[in-house]
Amino acid sequence: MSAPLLKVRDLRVHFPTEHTLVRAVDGVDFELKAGETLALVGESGCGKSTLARALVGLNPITSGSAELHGQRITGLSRAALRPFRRELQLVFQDPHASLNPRFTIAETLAEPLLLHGKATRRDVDAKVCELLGQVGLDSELRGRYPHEFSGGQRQRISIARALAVEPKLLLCDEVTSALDVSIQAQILDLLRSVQQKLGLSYLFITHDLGVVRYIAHRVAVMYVGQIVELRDTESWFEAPEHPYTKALLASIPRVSRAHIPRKPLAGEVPSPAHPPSGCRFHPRCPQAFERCPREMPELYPVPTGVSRCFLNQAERAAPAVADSTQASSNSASRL
Amino acid sequence: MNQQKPSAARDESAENAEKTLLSVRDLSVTFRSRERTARAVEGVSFDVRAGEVVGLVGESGCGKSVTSLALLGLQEKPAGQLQGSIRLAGRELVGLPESALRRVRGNRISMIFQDPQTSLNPYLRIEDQLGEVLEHHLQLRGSAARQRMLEMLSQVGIPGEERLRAYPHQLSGGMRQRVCIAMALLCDPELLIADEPTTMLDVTIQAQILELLRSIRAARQMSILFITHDLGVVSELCDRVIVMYAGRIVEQAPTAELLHTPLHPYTEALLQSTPRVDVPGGGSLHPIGGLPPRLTLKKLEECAFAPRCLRVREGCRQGEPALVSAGGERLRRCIVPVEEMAVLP
Repeated sequence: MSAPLLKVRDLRVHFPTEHTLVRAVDGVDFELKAGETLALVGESGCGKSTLARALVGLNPITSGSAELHGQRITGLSRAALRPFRRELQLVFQDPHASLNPRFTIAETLAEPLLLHGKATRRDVDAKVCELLGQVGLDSELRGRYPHEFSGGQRQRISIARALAVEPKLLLCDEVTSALDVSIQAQILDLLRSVQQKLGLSYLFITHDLGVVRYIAHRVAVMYVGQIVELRDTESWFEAPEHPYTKALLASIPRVSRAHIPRKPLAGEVPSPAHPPSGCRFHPRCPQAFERCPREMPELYPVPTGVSRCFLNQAERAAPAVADSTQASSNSASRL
Repeated sequence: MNQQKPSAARDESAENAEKTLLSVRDLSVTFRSRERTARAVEGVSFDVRAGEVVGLVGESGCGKSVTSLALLGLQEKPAGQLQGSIRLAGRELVGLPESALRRVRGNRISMIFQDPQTSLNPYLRIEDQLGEVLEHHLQLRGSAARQRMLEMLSQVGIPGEERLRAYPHQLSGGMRQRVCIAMALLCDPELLIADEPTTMLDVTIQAQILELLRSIRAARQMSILFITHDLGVVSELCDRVIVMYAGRIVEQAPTAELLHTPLHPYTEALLQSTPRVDVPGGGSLHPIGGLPPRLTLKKLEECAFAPRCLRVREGCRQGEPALVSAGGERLRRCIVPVEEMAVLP
């Protein structure tokens, strides 16, 4: 209905190395609406962080485009990019590394406020206090240095700094991964309430699928540089379509079930420098058939989203095909 | 019974079932520095039976890793001081000279860590790392040692001789953890201490490693002390769970009972602050407010969890509660009546 806030089309980020080309992000499409949280999940090296960094200009984009409110933000000069920078803020995993240890909290927060003209010298202190209040920190603490805070508090400060320039979109890269669960829950609640209050959008990168189910409206699962499935959160958790995302969900340990014997997905994620031919998941896929190594599947429509698997294409035409391939393809597991 | 034959499967599993392998009594670890003294572990007592997998759970700083290192006499020295008793199959380990401890470590008790990258020597080929263990503990060299390495690597799912020649950096994270597990199992230990061994791995690789540990445990009747912050992992692998908070054991119970009916408010809060993959919307989260207390030598004047506890009452402020039986195999350190725990706070 409403026009998307962020529109990413066929985005590629390739890193040339001495011998080869690392296709870290290899043709990614998605849209993000205002006030929406899209989770970007996948295993290490799938390209999720590279994608986020590319969107804020920290990684060079090889091809493709990204639009914010319909205006292109890729391929711009640094100066032309600056007004958009403000609208897109990145929050990192380790607040210890992303806060300047020699700045007090007040200085850390004042810097972006002054730089982007969100405050003047005169009212900057009041603005800093307001920001701290927004993230649930006592403004009395603003004269302190980052090392005087706990990990959870430091992450609140990072969020406050991102909010300082009144962005439209926060790119959250594993923002709770370094925190204990009790503190993680506080930060997730903070992010939710900030979203409700300010109507922000989040691109939420995480490997923790419990967090995804709690915070995201939609989920994009990446595998070796590509999105393999993009769905509404609840329908994905209830009925994943792609064999990889099925395996991913099945491999998460759950509190509610004890020792159910199951066969873990064999093998490991291939290197984006040497992606497999055809479907990138086919070497590990329990349902792979002749077509998979030869041809790259597209994103086919499935309920509430898309899935990059021939079975999802086939299911529509002839539902029986899926079952027969499943039965015939049980290749020997490596374990 | 100190000498193990390599790879001989222990077949006395039936009688082992009730036998206590490791017995820890009143273990305390204190760290002293010029500025302050911290009591990281306070009066911890527990048993691990032969063939049992026990989970040691808690958040950063709760003392779970310090406890596990202390079992091997590996607490930081001289800052870390240890009191109490640690018995392995009846033999006291506390106060043993370093040379005697070295015969226990890597031989009868071995350990795997969170980051396999840092526990492998980057300059040594896999065969040299494994060979060192075999030579030191079992005096195995040459082709006999090689045979043993290959056998062990294939058991952890790394087939093929060429991997012996590899350096750690040539292997993936999951492969490196498999090598560490192989190295830990070389001497057929009675107890494996695993400190967050899957925390740095992706979930599909984590599932492989958990499956591997399950199968090794079944095949060898080995005991495992599994240290983790992840209650999901606990439910997959552990028979029993010990929950630690602020250096103390606050609850101990068989896994299913602990996860379904936690009897300590901290365990309950831990469960309720973990977003669930298996519940629509991730379940409702109840963060635990505040932070754990600073640990000093001073005796606590209240329950360590009282300042953050949703069920706190007058009695919680009158001295620290003792760890008492809550029926069956359950222990808890809390004065809230068990019946009240069934009702949400």
